[in-house]
Amino acid sequence: MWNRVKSFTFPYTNLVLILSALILFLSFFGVGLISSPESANTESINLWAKQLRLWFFITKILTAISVAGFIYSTLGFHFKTVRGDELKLKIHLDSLNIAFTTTLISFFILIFIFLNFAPSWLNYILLFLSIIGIITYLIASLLIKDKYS
Amino acid sequence: MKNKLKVLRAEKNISQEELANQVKVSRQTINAIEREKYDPSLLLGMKIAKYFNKQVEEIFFMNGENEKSR
Repeated sequence: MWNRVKSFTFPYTNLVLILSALILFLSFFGVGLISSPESANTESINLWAKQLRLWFFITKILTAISVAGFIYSTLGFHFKTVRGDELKLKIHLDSLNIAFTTTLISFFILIFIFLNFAPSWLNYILLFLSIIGIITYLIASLLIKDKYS
Repeated sequence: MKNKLKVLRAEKNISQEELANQVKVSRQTINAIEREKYDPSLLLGMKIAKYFNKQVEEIFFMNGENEKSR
């Protein structure tokens, strides 16, 4: 099984990633299609409830497809990086190292600041950390690429 | 670590791109190795040595070592 995964080439990873993101957000846009009941009688409320249940079922299926797509593309990118050029792998690993360390330090700093000065901002700490992580990775990869060229 | 990859490549009259294709890495990797900014993995070092039909230590050597003594 593992050998089969290791020899699989993971085609269309970029396309799958884009489609998964689109499918995930499709649920947000589609919810506007279900109109609220026109009158308060039992029949129209039942009809509306049926529509809503159907919509929830569809969104669950869409989300499952989307998550499967994200897993597929993540595995694909991972194996492509590992099997690919060794300098690119080194640049990727060095950038990840810097990004992870920066994110971890930022986590402690943000926790300290938010707990003492703005506790409600703790709700958004994951958002801040992911932005910091992505930006640091991009900057680090550019700097490290420059180092080896 | 130092190497004489550039000399060997010039002797064989092949481009970085051709060598990169032979050992299945990118041209940038070969360039970084030649400029001694990147030390290749053991596997890549052995692939390069095999391509030039030489021992690994004939191509790659430590900073203090004198390549002429080989």
